[in-house]
Amino acid sequence: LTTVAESSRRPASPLLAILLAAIVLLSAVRTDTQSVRSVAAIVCDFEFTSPTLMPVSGSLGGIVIDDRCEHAYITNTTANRVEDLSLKTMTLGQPISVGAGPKGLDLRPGTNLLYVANATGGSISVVDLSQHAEVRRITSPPSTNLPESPNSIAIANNGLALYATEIHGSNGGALFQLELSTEQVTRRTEYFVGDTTRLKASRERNVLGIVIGGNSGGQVIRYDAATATFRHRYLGRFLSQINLDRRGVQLITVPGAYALDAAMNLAGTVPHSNTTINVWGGSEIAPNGRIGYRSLGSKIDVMDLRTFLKTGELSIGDTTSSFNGIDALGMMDLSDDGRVLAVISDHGISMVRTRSDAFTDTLVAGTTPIRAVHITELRDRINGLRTLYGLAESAWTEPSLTGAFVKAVHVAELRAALQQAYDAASVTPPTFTDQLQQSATPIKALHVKELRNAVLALEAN
Amino acid sequence: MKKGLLAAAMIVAVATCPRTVATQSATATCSLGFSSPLFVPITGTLGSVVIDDACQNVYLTNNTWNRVERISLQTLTLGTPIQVGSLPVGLDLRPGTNLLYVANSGGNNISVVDIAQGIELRKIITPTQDFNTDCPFFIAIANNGLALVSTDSIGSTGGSVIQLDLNTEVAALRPDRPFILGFDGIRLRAAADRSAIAIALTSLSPSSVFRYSAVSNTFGAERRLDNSVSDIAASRTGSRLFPAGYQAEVLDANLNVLGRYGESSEGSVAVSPDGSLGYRSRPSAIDVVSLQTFAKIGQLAVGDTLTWQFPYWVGQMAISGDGRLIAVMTDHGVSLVATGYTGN
Repeated sequence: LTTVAESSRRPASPLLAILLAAIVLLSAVRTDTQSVRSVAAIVCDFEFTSPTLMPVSGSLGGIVIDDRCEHAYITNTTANRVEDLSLKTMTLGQPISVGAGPKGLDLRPGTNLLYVANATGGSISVVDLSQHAEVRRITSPPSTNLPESPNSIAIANNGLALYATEIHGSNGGALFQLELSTEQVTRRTEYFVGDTTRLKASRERNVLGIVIGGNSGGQVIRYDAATATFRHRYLGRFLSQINLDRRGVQLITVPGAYALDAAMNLAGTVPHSNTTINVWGGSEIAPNGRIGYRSLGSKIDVMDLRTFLKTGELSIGDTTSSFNGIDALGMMDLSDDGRVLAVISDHGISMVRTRSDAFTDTLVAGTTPIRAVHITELRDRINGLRTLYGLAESAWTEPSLTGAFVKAVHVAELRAALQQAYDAASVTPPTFTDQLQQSATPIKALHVKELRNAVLALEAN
Repeated sequence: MKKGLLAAAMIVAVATCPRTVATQSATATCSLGFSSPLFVPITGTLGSVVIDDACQNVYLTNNTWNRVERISLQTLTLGTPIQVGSLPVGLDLRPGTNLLYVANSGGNNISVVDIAQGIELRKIITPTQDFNTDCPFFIAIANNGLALVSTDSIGSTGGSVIQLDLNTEVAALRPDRPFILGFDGIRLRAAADRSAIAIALTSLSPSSVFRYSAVSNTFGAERRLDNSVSDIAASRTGSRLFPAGYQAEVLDANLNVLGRYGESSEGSVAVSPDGSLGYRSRPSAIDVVSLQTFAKIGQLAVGDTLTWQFPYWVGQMAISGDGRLIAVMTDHGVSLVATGYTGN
């Protein structure tokens, strides 16, 4: 018999050494690949009564919510400015003057820069949000002899933005590429576009979606940032907006609510049940691609994008009755965590919570006592996430907490169970306050609140 | 029509129509333990209906709720529905398997359903032409391992017929289709022995029909009809075709017109296994038509109304392998109707 100790003393042959080295190298590469993790969404944890209408005067052209869920920025086309809605205080701040007729806008991740398509000004405004001011304008070259202006823009993660123009006095337009570092503009000639073409980036900005406006062909285009290439599909009807999930895998367009997959196959359709009211307008899609939203008069339809059925309605507290297929009424943006919709309505901006996933009690440090229900509902939600990511449900100390005191062990095992779900989802796990020591660490509102936000963030993944 | 007259007409019809294939396999006999018609209410717009070969279950697509409804013919109750793809319309069973194929008109895909487990197993992506979005509407399974699927193009009048290889699950356009592309509303119906598929271009006026032969894997020559038709049905071996619309024509296997049944009505059709009788849905009943004399010889009550309106699916029916049972989609669900047929 050869013992392990004997075997380990044997000098390795050169061939074996090379093989072992290769295995080690491959293992290292594999580990690197496995360690690529996405970052969980920042949770919109501000409080408001849904829906809340924020009155804004003027014709609004586009809306975005920033990745930190602190502000919504809205172009005011008639006032030539960007409105700044603070989500923490739910108040409108000082507006930012930009070019003429601003419509589409997009934020450049990792910077303080906001890019605004000036739809009558022939330019793109670059706004520094930290200075709260337009810092320069990028002139958009014309594609014809007629006056022409940008009207929609989306920023990809490859250093490029794409924007569409409208040619004044016609229903045509063109597609352009903006190199963000040099601010050089180049016309993309792959597609002819209509005057109401709209673009939207996936949350990871690896994919841009484009709907060609003003055209009954219903052309939908998917731009892949990694390869800088396009792929398209015709849906055979006028379309008004396009949206993508976090990774650009699922894409929806309205009216009609057509859901397309990454290969641009039509996965399903959610027809309007009531076509007597305005079916034009905006749409959104949850970051995980499972839920879609579309504006419908004074409501938003909620759609299950796995069964392609309408599952509910959300009131917006206002109307979108005057939408005519060209303006932006009904257009909406969804927060990065998928919990808050900002909708352009007849009289301003409607802020809408997308789901009733509220936890029991708004926790206030030093005021709200921590109760068993706070732990049990976290257990349910964390086990739901574990199931979603292929893990077994966690077993808990004291499965029934009726009449029990909340202890450090309860919170510690919630953290551990959630950490495993984050690992399974390949998402960077959250950090928590305090190393919880058995019966030594008092459970605070902060501990529970951190867990709640971590659950919400992964639910939005 | 009086029962006696109907029975007599059927006896004559059966007596004058010899069995088409003497060696065909035995067909399961439907045990009709109900008082006909039996109306089963179902919520939603139904797309198509089939009865399984064992006469155990009726399957229907529910276009509103994106699911397949199942009615047990033993318990005469609706079972748990099976969730499928978006806006399902056509469906067909693959003989000798537990597999049901569903044409999802809200996407370019077909659901493969395991009816034993009662679940959708997977979706098969179907091809589209020139970046258009062609969605499956009707499907018919042949006995050569292939299914034919008709598609409609969203937002246009385009459409086509594609072939699905049931073993590899590869779907592809049929390059040898005998008709030009661009017709939507192509109806397909397999003969019960799956040796032939009847094809009707329903959006063409007057309509054209074709017969696909499974043994040669070819389409026969076109037959242009006198009128537009809304549906087509075939006898067990595909030796009789019965396309119907404002007028119904009776065709043989070579698509020769044998006769016409001229009572004006829109609706859907079925044919008895031996090809002696045709069934045609009317606003509140099913006409029984002799396919030898081309005359109406009776009427079957359905227990509900059949309103012929867009999308023209109400009135569609499936006939059991033994010809004794018809399941017809009505305004409010489905009716199970005993035909009184006693032939083979």
